[in-house]
Amino acid sequence: MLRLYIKRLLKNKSGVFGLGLIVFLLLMALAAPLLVPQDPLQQNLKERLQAPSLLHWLGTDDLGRDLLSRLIYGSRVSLLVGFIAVTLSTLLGSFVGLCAGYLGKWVDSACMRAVDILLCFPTFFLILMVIAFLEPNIANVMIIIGLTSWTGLARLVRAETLSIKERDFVLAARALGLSTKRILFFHILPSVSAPIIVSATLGVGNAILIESSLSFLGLGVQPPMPSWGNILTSGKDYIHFAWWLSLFPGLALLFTVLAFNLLGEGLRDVLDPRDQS
Amino acid sequence: MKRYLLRRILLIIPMLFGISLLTFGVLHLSPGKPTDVVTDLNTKMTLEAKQKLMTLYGLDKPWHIQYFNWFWRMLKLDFGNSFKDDRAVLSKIGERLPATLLLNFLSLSLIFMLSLYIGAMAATKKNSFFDKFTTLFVYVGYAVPTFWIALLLMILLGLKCGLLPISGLRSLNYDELTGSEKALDILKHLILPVSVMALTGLAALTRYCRSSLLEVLHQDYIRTARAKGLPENKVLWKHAFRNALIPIITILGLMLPELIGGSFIFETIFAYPGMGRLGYEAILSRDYPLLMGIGTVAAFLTLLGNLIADLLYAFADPRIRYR
Amino acid sequence: MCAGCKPDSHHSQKTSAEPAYDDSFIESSIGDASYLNPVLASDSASSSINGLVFNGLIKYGPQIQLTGDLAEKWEVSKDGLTLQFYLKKNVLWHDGQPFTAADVQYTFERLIDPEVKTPYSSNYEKVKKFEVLDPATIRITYSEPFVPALESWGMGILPKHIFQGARGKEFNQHPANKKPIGTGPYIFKEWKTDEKIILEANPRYFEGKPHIARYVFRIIPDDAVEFMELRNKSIDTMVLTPDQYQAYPEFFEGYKKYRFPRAAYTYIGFNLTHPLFKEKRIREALAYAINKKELVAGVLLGMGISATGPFLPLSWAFDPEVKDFEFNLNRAKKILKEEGWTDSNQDGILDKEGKKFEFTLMTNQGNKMRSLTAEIIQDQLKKVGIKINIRIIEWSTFIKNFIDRRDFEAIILGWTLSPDPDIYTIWHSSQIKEGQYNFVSYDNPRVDMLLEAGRKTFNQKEREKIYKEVHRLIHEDIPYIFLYYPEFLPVVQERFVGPAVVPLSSFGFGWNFDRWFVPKNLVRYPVMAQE
Repeated sequence: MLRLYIKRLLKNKSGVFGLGLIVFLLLMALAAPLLVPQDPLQQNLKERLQAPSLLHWLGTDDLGRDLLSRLIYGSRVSLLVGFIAVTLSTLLGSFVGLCAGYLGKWVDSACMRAVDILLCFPTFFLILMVIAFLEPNIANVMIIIGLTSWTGLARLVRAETLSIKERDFVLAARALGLSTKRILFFHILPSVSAPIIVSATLGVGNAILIESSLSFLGLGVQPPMPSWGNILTSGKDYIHFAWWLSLFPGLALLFTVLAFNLLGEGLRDVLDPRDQS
Repeated sequence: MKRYLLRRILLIIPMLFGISLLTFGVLHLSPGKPTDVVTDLNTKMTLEAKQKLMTLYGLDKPWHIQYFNWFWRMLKLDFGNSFKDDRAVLSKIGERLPATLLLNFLSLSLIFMLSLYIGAMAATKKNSFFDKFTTLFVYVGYAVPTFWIALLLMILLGLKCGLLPISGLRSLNYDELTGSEKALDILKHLILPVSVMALTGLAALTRYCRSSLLEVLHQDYIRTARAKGLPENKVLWKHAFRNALIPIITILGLMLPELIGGSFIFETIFAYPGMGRLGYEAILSRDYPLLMGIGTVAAFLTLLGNLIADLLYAFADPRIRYR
Repeated sequence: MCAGCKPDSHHSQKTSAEPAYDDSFIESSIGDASYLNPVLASDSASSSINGLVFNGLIKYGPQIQLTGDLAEKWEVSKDGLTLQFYLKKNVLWHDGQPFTAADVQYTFERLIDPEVKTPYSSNYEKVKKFEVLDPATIRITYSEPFVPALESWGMGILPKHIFQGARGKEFNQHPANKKPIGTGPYIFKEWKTDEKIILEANPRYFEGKPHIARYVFRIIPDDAVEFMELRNKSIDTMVLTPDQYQAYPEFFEGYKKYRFPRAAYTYIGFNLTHPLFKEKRIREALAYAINKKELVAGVLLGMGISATGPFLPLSWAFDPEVKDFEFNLNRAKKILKEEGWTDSNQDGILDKEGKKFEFTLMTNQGNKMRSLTAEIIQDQLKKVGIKINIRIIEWSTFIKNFIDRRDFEAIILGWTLSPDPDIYTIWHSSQIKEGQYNFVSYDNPRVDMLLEAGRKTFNQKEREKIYKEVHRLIHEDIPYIFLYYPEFLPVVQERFVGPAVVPLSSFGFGWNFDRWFVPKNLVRYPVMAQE
């Protein structure tokens, strides 16, 4: 089965491209200390805001630090935030959505009212409030993004579950007397896994983008630790005379988020059992 | 159906209560006091003067009394006055909400039209060049950091080409313009923010549209419809579409709070007078009445929107029945 | 130091052209105003507007000397306890009503009204008696001599007849706070929240009708966008960051750039009750280890000077004899060694009795200069073996949780200075309670005594001596390391004639805005005739 999936995924060009890019990014993040041409924290005020050159391939920032090195180290932060936040939100969201949709009755009401209450707040507003009041650091940022972004998935999963649970194969499973747990996780979950996967991959990108938005407000990862978000934000102030400082982190963010989405698309095509044209 | 509707409407009341209590709790657990920003380390202000301000804001009372007072007044639709400038919270929100809704309505309409079109085309011609190109395009739009692309477009279209105004909602000579010129002026100011918002918001809806259509297209009844010899167009628009609407309605329902709450970053970059800036500035200045007001109003509108979304489900999918 | 005081671009404009009573001046601000009422407002956006709409009894002149504004002249009694103001006659409110002493009395009553949300009441607590002798004469009696009291009468005076005697809550919420009526050079026209505020020239202004017909205050919340609007020529002025100041010259075609000291300084404050910083020798070592020249070069790009104390170099309170700590790594290392700090385990960080020399340096979020400063200092102190952790915290949380509770080790903050050198609230040892401003817990009996005397001494010569000594003592005690005085870097569209750099500019560049004009042939936005 797995081999079949892999084989099919390899046929999906954009999925492979996304996967390749993500593997590349992961390797880069892991091997950061070996790869960087210079210490990402090494300041050199005499060389501040230098345009890209042979010495500094992507130029330097406002404290004369090598931008390439900072971007390489920044990938660690962005990927970590993305993965952990999404793991958290996906687990929570799918579980709540499945239970609410299938079990119905008071479980549904309770879960959905809770979700409704959380959904009534603009997500970013909620994140802002909590981060502003807590302290902005990488752990808080990950947890808050995770805890605030599961509700959308929960609703989506519930809606899908609602329409699937009336389908023949579920009715049949129920008629056979299978346990609720079994029906939930072996019959319904696979059927709703496609949207979960699509949503999770979009979610990684989204979490990375939220971190960069928080950085825009100075509430993201704190200096001198580099994250793509805070490099891009400091680049904003220099957008008129040091284009490299916003272009490269902008592109890094763009390609990373893109990679996750393309991979998600690829996975979706592969995993969806009803889609075999 | 009627009973269901009534129940849902009645449910809104305890939910509003819960939401306002939650907002109030978060606010009061938060460090910082509204007087911090007023005083802004103003050395001319003594400790006694600060304490006087606390009393005037009613912040010296225990929190449950503060909440009760707030709730009691809220029932009479009095949300109190903003700490920042002593203006009625409702009129402050009333000033901003239309601007935010206008922007969001326009960009959402654009998103909606584009994504239905792209989604449908991509789904029927799966793996075609069009499908691949639009996939890439919408994802690039999604992946690009909003403020960065906004600034780049402002530099390109506003500064370098001089085609569009850079920021704001109205020109300075707005009041001297005639009616149609006024509309044109606002339109010109809206082009950039609406397109950036549409570009960055296109992905979710387009993708869901495409994937749910794809799913539907493989269902038995569509095959039956095709087998009956119905033209492909009719199959798509009549049969497939109605079913594909469910996830789209969900997504729209999910977007509601953001549509009402606005986006701080977006509004900051475009110097747009909307709800996002109002909310963020209220957070920073600990403007409790304003924050409570925004929370409650946004929540109320969202609950209403959700109710409508749930009703639309029933309309879109006859298998879902509410009792 | 004043080499940069002249406009950078060529000044060969045809000033022969006649001044026009026309054109608009478009300014921008990051935030919107709150109250257009000087008694209630404390933010800088509101102050910019209130300064043009209202007048105080007195104001500062170009050389930072007090002069009359609504007051013709004033007298201070020998014992310093009574102030007598003689008001100008024939001053009219914007609605045509005459201005009288009753208006001043009304404003004063609101300032001390316990239910009015004014942050300024403490300035007037010491007033024992307020008497209106006749419609143009006021006598104010103080319970004790208080020199800064005079300055406090620069507060904008409100029209009694508009407020109709409103007090307390009614005053706080009065509609006139949104539609002000004043005596000043500009009349309030329109306010679109978070978009713009528009003022128009007051033809009956008692100092003569201002030339620029319209003043527009646009709200542009983002600095990068503001700069874009400047390049697009859609705003007429902006305060630049050092990087913007040094950007390509073609960005500033049509603009004049100015550069002069700003009334502010940035410092590192130490929590003097913390064991690490209790010892003055340690603070001294840090003072030698911090390279202020590098900070000025790196953060301000050379547009500023290193600071030695709590006063501005242009102030009469500043003692030029105070010698700054010269950057000297070896000396810093030597002191630290003498105090027992050595790197015994060779990890690059000093230690003593098993404890590392490590501390947290905090500053508020939203101030790029401060966070850059923190990062550079972190790097500098690493060289003597001190480890700094930086924490950047949102303003209100920072103040409430860390500053007010004295829960910090070291902070980077700045003070904005006012023309009067009274700094009692920052340095007097009675001001160390939670919520007060001596949050570093500085305590020097001699300084206490001098600060008290400085508030009571009307004799300028003596006052000067007092504050010069304060400067010296605070410098020697190193409760702060005074880092730098940043410079003020405004640009103004070159059609405007009149912007001038004088000592007072350090406290506000638009000090003589009502005298600026545009030559008739250069008017850009003709204002439609409305008279």
